[in-house]
Amino acid sequence: MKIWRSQEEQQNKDEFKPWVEREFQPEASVLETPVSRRSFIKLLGGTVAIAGLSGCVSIRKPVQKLVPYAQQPEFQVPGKSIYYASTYVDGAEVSGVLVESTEGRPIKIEGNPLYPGTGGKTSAIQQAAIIGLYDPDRAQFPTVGGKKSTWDAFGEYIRGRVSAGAKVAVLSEPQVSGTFFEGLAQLRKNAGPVAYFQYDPVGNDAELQGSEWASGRALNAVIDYKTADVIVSLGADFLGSSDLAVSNTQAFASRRDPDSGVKLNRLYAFESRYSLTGSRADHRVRVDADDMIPTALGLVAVLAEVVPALKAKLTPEMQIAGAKFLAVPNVAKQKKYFAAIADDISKNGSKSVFVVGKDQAPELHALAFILNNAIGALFVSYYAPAFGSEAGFNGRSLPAITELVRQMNSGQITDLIIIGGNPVVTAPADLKFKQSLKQLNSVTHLTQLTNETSRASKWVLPRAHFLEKWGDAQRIDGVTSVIQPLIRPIVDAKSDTETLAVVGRLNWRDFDAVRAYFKRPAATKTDATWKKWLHDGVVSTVSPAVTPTISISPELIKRAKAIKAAKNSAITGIFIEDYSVRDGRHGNSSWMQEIPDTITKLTWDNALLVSPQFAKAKGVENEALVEVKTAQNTVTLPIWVVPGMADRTVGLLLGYGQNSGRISAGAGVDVFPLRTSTHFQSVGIQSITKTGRKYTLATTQNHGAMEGRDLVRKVSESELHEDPKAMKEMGEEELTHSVFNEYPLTGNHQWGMTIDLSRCTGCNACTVACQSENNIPIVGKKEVIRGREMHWIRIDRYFSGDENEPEILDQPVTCLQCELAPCEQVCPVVATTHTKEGLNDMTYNRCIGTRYCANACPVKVRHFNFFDYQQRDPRAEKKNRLHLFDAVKEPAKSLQMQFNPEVTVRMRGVMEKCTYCVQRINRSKFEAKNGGKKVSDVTLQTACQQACPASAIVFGDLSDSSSAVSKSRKSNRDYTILGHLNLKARTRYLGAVYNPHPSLVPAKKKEVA
Amino acid sequence: MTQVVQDIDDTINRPALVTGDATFQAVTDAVVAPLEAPTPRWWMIALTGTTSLLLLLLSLITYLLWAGTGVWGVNSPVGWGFDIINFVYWVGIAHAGTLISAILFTTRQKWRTSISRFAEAMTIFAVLCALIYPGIHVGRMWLAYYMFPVPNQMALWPNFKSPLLWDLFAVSSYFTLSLVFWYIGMMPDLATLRDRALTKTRKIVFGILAMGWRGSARHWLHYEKAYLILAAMGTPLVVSVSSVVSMDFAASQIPGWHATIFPPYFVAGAVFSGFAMVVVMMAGARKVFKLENLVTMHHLETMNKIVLGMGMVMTYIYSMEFFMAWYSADPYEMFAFINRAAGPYAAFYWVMLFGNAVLPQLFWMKRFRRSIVWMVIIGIMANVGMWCERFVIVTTIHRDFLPSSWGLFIPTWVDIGTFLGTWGLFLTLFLLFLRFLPMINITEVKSIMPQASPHEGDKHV
Repeated sequence: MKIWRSQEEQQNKDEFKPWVEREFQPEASVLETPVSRRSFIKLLGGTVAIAGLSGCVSIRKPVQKLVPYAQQPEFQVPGKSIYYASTYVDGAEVSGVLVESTEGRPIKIEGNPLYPGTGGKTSAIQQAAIIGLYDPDRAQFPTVGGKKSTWDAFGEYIRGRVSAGAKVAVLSEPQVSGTFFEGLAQLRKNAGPVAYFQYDPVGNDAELQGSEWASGRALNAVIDYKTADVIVSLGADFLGSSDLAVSNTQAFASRRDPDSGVKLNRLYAFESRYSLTGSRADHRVRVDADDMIPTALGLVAVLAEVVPALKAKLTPEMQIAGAKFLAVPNVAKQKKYFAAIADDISKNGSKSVFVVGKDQAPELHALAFILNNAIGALFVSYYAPAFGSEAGFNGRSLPAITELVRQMNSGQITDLIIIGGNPVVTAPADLKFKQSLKQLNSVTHLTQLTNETSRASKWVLPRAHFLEKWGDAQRIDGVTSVIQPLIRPIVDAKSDTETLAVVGRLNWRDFDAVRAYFKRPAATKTDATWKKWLHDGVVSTVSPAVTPTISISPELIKRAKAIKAAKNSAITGIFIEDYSVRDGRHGNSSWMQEIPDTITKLTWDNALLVSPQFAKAKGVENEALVEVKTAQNTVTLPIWVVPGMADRTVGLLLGYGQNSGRISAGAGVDVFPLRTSTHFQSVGIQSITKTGRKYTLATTQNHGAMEGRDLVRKVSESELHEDPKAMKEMGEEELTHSVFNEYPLTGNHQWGMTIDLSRCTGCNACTVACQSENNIPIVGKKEVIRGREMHWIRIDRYFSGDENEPEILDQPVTCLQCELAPCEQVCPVVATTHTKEGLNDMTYNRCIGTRYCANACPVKVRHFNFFDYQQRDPRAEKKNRLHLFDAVKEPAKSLQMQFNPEVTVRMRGVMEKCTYCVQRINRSKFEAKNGGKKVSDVTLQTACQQACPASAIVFGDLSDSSSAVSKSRKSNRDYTILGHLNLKARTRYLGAVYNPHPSLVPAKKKEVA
Repeated sequence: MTQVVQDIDDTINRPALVTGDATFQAVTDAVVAPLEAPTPRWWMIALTGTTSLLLLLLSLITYLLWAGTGVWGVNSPVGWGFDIINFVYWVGIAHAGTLISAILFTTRQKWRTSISRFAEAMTIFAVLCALIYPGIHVGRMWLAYYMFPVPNQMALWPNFKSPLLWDLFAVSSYFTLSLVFWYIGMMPDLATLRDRALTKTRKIVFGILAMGWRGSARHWLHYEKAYLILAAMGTPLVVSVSSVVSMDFAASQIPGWHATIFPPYFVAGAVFSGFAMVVVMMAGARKVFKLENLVTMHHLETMNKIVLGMGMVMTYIYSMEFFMAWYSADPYEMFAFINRAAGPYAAFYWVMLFGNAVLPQLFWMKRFRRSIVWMVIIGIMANVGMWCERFVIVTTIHRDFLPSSWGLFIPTWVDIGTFLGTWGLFLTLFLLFLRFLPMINITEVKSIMPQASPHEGDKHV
């Protein structure tokens, strides 16, 4: 059968033939003209041009190869995170953590819920530890005299020294690991007597000394804040600067939540600076640093009247001193507080507790020991330092470093190995540690970052991060746990113990040592137990608490007699461990440098903290550079006025002015030169003189007053009890009526968040957790000054009340996820929209950066990438290849490993903000769907919620009436900010409740009641 | 109708709009003279200056594109700074032109004829300066086209609820209409230039631009119709453009922005600054180009009256804003206004009040209305005041709801340089306009001269 296309074809007409034969019709131009010279040249030209285009490889995206695993690691599913239990160790601070690992890279640190006390929570610094692992400034390989070397070379060198009869000593940060001391013992077997010294610039020295004076034993006190009803703090910052801050906060906050049904505790805080703990106190009492002991003695004198046991336990010297100081005006003015405390103690007795800060004088610790003993405080446990005997000096730092310097100077030590720390800067200035180092034959510094001490050392050895090594750790209260590595050392690093093994040529592997160490109790020999330990992260929670008795040493009596009332003209400088960088060890952590201090809201710098009255008297204001002179030394610092500081006390923040990398370089001023072994906690200031110059400080909050607005609501417990609507009626009425029809939110889940201001301590853990989870860049000091910091969740700090005795009101603010979001309707390109589950989403790809949404946002939680901050990071690297329309630089390769692969890294010109961790919501929904279960608000937690040590953040499904967040909405403390704008915010607040002593409630409030 | 108007003019004894013994020939010669004269020295010097500023603008835009929006002083909370301040400012300046040509044309204000071309040119150049900002102020300029409703495979479609989008359409349609209006109005004059051209280039260029205008009755018929239609279209646009710009602010909930008075507020402000600007520029141009007979003191005085009127409207609005803040009993709103007058940017507020509300009051007195020196001073101060007003409005967000997020906007050198650069663009275009196009509408001016009346010389009974 013939198939034809037209009649012409069927009839096979002549006209049709060319149609069939020719592929193209005659009108079409076809290259069938013979090749002429012209057309050849034309074609050649075209070919070359096109070939040339293909040579523009730079226009193409780089080729990336995907290689499958030859051997799939166990449980490894690409794109799915695995969590491993490990232990965070920072000096004496030990905490159980769960580390999230994606395709072999640890990317986020979270708390281990099985670890006792912390409730699976973490601090800001613990959250930031992950960036320390990937810090491109880490020492990459061993160096000798600044030149690249190897571990073998170091081993040969040091063993050569040992066999030549060198007297080797080790100076270390506090060690909390049993295997370390085993390694040290083995080293001593191989290499003879190796002296060991331990130094912590911000350690517990005073407490160990004080308890030794009062009981004959050096002990650490651990307080159970969950059960204590009355807490009297004498300069203690147990919620802020404490090795147990996370568990303390967890316990303390559980007693600040009236909805939980427990009785609220009452905190009296006597302090000279404004500390985080002071900001949570029911009664904060401003006491100058040099008035602290007289005030405490005055308090003791009052208490002795109501606590008979106390009178019996006080020595006559103390009783006389107490009576004497009670007559001193500075102490007498606190009498109303003494009376209130006496009243509380007489009512609560042994359920009360006295706690003293580690930066206070040992005398005060001794006094607190006696007080706690006398009232029979039930919730104080005492622990001897676990490795105190190995460490020598009962675990105390100051005598250790003093002795070390003495031995170095006298030639008893010729070679020193320094593990961690930065003693060249942090050792007491009068010891002249650096000069002593020069007399040694060799100094070796095992360190993660090259700091001043490394530069004063011959050998610099890279030290393993805790995520890179096997180990064990024991918390102050006896909880032991395993340090499990998540990754092989990403630089040529070794752990502390392995370094000792190199020195002693030991047959040593950390893993075997840890296994062997834990195998020792007979019951735990099986592999199953070991696996369970690895899984849980916790080995033993057996408490080695001791029950000491009072045995007052003559030294204490001598000192009690010597205590004098402070002069009213004296100025005392107190050394404050910084909340962000501690003694400087976290100075190169970009996240910690940019985190605003809880109290001062300063970033990137320290300053001389003074009270408003002091500033007025001296005629200085914020940012004025002043010269601070002590008997020893002079430093030049900018002023920062902190309402609530004691008027004769100035705060010297430690930890700045050190150079351990590109982040810390240039940040702040080193105040260690003022700190001597005799003035270790505080120092008398001879003069503070103006230089007339200014130094710009970067603060994230310029305005500290709430201007009478109803943003943070706070009432006393009794007020709320009398009038359950007290909180709701404090501010403007909430508007919920829209003039237009609202778009229905029909999702299966309706996400919401509640932030409990009664629990929140303002510790910043949420901010850093968010930064870690959501790839939030740092912007640098200049950009913070411009007001461009990127933190998705920030903590607003307001001062209220009298300028000299202000209260601090903290409020974490993040995107409120308004149902009627003002940002959404103003975006011209629909880059921010609402989901049916009530999330206010950002589509980064659509965003062109008009910043209109940020302007319209009533709470200013939208953050704009004014620059490509990842590129402007001082640690950014040049890209391997350039790409048209793309960035020239990129984040350091190692920092890229930290990025959460589930969150876009935003480019410049894009708006970003809190998403309620939408990646976690989605992951949780997938898992629930696959498992045929409901999304549970136990497994689904936002990063901020997961980290919050106070458990102040509750997140979940509002459509599920049994969820925690739904329940929180029924609280009589529930309120929303800016309710009159009809935002229908999904993030709401629970107002703060405090528990004042009835006799101390201001008369005004009583009238209202 | 012309006759009726003429009659009324005669009856109420209006001052003549063209003075001197002007003939049609003299008018043409006077207007065309600057175009045909050899390039003046001062013009070259001035152009060098303005093009340098223009170059500054181009380089700063390149720098901005390279480095990012952060080179400006904008931050959180003040997400908009000089970009939007100057955008609104230039849109304001642009207001006089279309108002003079459209509204005054439809209301048959004959005195408009000798200033309309000049004012329209100013409008177009000012809108050009304004239009630069929406393009460059976004964080990712290369994606600014996302704002246009162009069907695409990315499923992108703009949000028509966003005032910023309305803004884009309002300003671009205003620009389009102004340009077309200007061009059509210029066509007979371009033909005149073509016919007078002595060089080949001029002949060709003006020949093309004149689009074959021969002055036939049919041409005139179409021309008059088109002009009237465009004027009718332009009239609502004059009001809409600044109203829409104001909604960028009014549509948000920010205290100090969220006010229903904003649309008339912005229109009045824009007319105020636009007229003040025309007065300042015209006062100079008529002197330099010896056009005193065409742009008489009567013209300037009339414009000054409008400046005074608008200044009064502004004064009313300023007080009404404060009244409403107090009357609303909204503590945030009250704070925003107290903060304007007493906060960190108070200086700008008081300059604004002085320039916009106080100084124009001098125009109540004829002496000041007819004094070139005073009208230039008041005109400049009105523009400084209006710039400050934009600054005060845009930076209102520096202290909004949460005191924790309060901050300050401090312009950087790039901000200031870009602003100067837009002046460079404006003045460059203006200098080119003065040199190459007739700055006064020859045709229209002739039409209002006594000679144009068919009854010229008739005696009334």
